[in-house]
Amino acid sequence: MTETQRARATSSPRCLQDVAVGDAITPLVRGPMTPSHLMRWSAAIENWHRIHYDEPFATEHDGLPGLLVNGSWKQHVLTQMMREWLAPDGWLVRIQFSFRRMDLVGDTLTAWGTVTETQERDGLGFVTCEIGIENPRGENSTPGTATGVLPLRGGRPVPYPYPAG
Amino acid sequence: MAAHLTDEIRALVGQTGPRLTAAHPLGPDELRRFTQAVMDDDPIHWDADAGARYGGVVAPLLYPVNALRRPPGSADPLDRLHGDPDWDGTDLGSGLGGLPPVRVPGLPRVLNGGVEAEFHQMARVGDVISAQARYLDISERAGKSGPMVILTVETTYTNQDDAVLVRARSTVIMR
Repeated sequence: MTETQRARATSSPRCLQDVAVGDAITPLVRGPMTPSHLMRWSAAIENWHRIHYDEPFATEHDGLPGLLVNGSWKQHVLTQMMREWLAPDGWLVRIQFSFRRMDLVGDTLTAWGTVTETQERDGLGFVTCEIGIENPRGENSTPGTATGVLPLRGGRPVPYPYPAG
Repeated sequence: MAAHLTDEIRALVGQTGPRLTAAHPLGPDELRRFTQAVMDDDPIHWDADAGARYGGVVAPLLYPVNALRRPPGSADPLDRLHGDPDWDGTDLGSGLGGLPPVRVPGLPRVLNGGVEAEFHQMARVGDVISAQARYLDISERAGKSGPMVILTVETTYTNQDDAVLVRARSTVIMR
């Protein structure tokens, strides 16, 4: 394990018994988001939707308040937050979220999560979380849920690859 | 209420698109550019020892949804700006995994509604990723700003061994 991973692991649960309902997932803070960040993301995935990098188009043509942070980028931030919190012993089984509000250039965004349920099943520990991305206007732009799996204390490791079903 | 959903559009539910395969294996430079763009600095994305649990250097969990890009020799998508300066830069046809596009008169705006994904393994450097999409559902709803047509597309992403990496259900809102 590298030093970076060791530092992350200290804030991560190692087994289901380390987790309680109400626990916060280690948040990821990103920003302030600049046009450069959005341009780099659009170029990386070759998505040329102009509302993410062409400010006159976004504001004058589409009537938006500014350049919009890509939903396609936000989905990776939520997924990364959950994966890192569950690493190195757990696995993100499922994630779900909706794009409900606009996040804009200039925003600092906080991906957050809270444990809502824990459950033992098949010798493994399942953790369900409420997740979201908060913007400076106090909105949850991207509400959703996620389910991760951790070992039970002294139990079998989480299988990898993680099977379907 | 189903004013926008024609029989032709309904008939698309259950239809499966072509199996699309990335033009080349996932390379380390492509992965570095991607992970910096998404601001993911976990060494599992460049250090095989760090990624040992996952079999080596691996991509972010949701990477496969962005893996199918234009192959070499594709037409330049930005050429369209010359004849159509108001074009918004989107191309729904290419965004839905080769499925026949749904075109609904009177509902010109296309929004990314959300995603649900199940994860089985991470794509590794060297993997050749394929994707196959199908229309899971097409429905109409009355939204606050008028009628909306909601497409649910399920896409299964696999590697060169046909092992499932990710299964993702995307919601596309037309209004």
